[in-house]
Parts: sequence; C-alpha cells; structure tokens
Amino acid sequence: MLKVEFYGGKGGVGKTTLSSARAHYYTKLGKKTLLVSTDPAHSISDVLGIQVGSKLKSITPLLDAIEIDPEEEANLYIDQIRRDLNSILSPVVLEDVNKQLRAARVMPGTHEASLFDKMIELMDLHKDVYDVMIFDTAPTGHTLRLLTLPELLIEWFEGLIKKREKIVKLKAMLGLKEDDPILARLKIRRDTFLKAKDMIRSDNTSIHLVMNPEKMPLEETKKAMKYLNDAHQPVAEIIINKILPPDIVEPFFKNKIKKEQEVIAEVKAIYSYLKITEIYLLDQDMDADSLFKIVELL
Amino acid sequence: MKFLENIALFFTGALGFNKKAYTLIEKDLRQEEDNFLLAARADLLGLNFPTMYYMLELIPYMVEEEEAWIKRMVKRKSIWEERFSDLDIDP
Repeated sequence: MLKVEFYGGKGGVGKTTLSSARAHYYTKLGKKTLLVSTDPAHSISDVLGIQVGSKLKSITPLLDAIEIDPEEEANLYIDQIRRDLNSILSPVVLEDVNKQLRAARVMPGTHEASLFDKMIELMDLHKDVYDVMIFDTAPTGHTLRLLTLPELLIEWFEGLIKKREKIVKLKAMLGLKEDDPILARLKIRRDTFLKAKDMIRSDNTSIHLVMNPEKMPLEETKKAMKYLNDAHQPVAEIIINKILPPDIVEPFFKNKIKKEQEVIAEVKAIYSYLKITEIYLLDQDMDADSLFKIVELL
Repeated sequence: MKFLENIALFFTGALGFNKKAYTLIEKDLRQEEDNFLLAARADLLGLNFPTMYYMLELIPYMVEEEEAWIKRMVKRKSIWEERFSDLDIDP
C-alpha cells in the first residue's frame, strides 16, 4: 500500500530539505520512493544536487524525483481541448472559443488546478510502482487549500451533474439524443475527485508541518493545525528545524537559544499527542552532502 | 362566420394538445439549459468559480447550447413578456 507524506509550512523553514531528507531516509529502509515538488519555486534540484525537471528523474536506484510545472500541465490540458474542438466546429466559432482558451491559460486558479490534477495523476498512476510518495509543497496556505480542494470540487460537480441529468431527461422526453458527452465528462471528473479525496483521507497519507523555533512560524503552525483540524485532516508530525545547538556560550546566542527552547516547549505542550521531531542547525549550507547529515537525524 | 371560426379554434385547441405539451417540455428544457450554462460558464459573466478550469473541457460540447442561448436572447422582445407568459398573464 502506497504511503503518502505531505510536507508543509511557512516559506524558508526547510520543507524541501526535510522532505528530501525523508525521501533518502525511506530509500535507506529499502523503500522505492518518489519525491514530488509542488512548489512553483522549485528547489529540490538544488538540494539533491541533480537537475530534476517536470518528467520523472532517477536520483538513486530507489529514489525518483519530479518537479511539477503547473504551466506546462495547463498547456497540455488546454491543447487536448483544442484537439477536441477541431473536429467539431465551424471556423468562426472556433476563433471565439480559442480566444477563451487562450485567456484560460492565465486565469486565476488555472495553475492551482493543473498542479492538483498532476498530483492526483502521480498518486494514481504510480501507486503500484512506489512504496512512498513525498510531496514537498508550497508555503502553508497553498498546501492547505490543495488538500481540501477535492471536497469543494465534489460538491460543485454533484450540483452540475444533477442539473445536467435534468436536461438529459427532458431531452429524452422530447425524443432527442440521449447520450450526453457533457454528463459523461462531469461524471468522470467527479469520480476522479472522489478518488483523490479517498487518497488524501487515507490512513496511509500523513501531513508533516515544518517550522522553525521562532514566534512567527509557531503562530503559522498553530493556524495550519486549526485549519486542518477543522477540515478533519489529521497532522502526523511537527518538525522543528534549524534549532540552535545548546552548547553555544556567547551571550548573544544564549538569549536566542533560551527563546527558541521556550517555543519548542510550547509546541510540545500544545501538541503533546503528536510526534515532534527536532533538527539542529548545521554549520554549513544545504546541499547534497549536508543533506545526509539531516537524514542521520531523522 | 363567427361560428365557423369558433369551430376552427376548437379543433386547433383539441388536436394541438400534444403540441402544447411538447412546447412546455421544450420550454423547461431551455430553462434548464440556461441554468446549466450559468452554473458551468459563470466565468463568461466575470464570476470566479473553483470549477472554471474543469469547465474548459466542456466547451467543445457546449458551443451548440451557447449559440442557441445567444440567439434566444437576441430574438426575444422583452424579458417581461417572457416572464408573464410563463405565468399565463397578459401584460
């Protein structure tokens, strides 16, 4: 059974580092792992030290990675619609529709939806290929929306399907054609979203929030926890990253360390029922080599 | 003459019964199609809905209905006339 992990949190807290480290960690356990970046500002290439693109790329024999390009996915989708059009319409109407499709490439929500579709496609198509799939997501708000999107969409589609069914029924009463490509497509979409919802809701899917031991990331983590709790989407782990090592003696850092430990204590107190992972700050920049030091800490 | 006219009217009414039912269903159908168009392609009116992206794939199949809708909108004489006729009231 495929295990899916989502890594979320504020920008710059180390989501990419932690998700990449976890991916390596799973390969060490002998699990075939796929690391997926859904953040439009991709950086797993930098962390892994290998150029990853929008196609599956093998990093090690057990680890593959991919950086989803929402623009490319949206273009593929719209080009497919365009192919459907060419067989059906007159040139005059075609131009009008093409104008709409061109506008759609940049309309709000397009990239979010195309990203989501690709995510679901990966989870569905490769569920038998991989043991673990790790999603390195964009900063918090974006991720949370993405995870609760299926529910919202299912409701919309149910409504549209009901409306469409009424039309098909009335058409049948008038003796008009009965098979309706629109109804068929609506149903395919709804079923995809139902599948997506099941996958996200599954016990094998977990959410991991990454934060730094500071006030602001803590507040954001609290908000995310509340949002996910309201959406009945349990969080499996909070990872506190870039903690200052406690053995620094300089007065400047001593105070900082004290503050950090206060935040860590607060996290542990509020979320005592969660797995809390603490990762100390390294004395070097993040790259493919230092990544393995983090892997050791997991 | 008046008598003959009345007989003619009687037969139109009596024999046109099916036509009337057909027209009523057609009217329902058009109304439902308009509703669906509004729900599915609200972006054409500038309303932003979460399903917008997924409605794009319906365009190739909806163009016919959209065209019919535009024609109906252009052809009608007044919104009120249409509404009143729904309620069987003479404006």
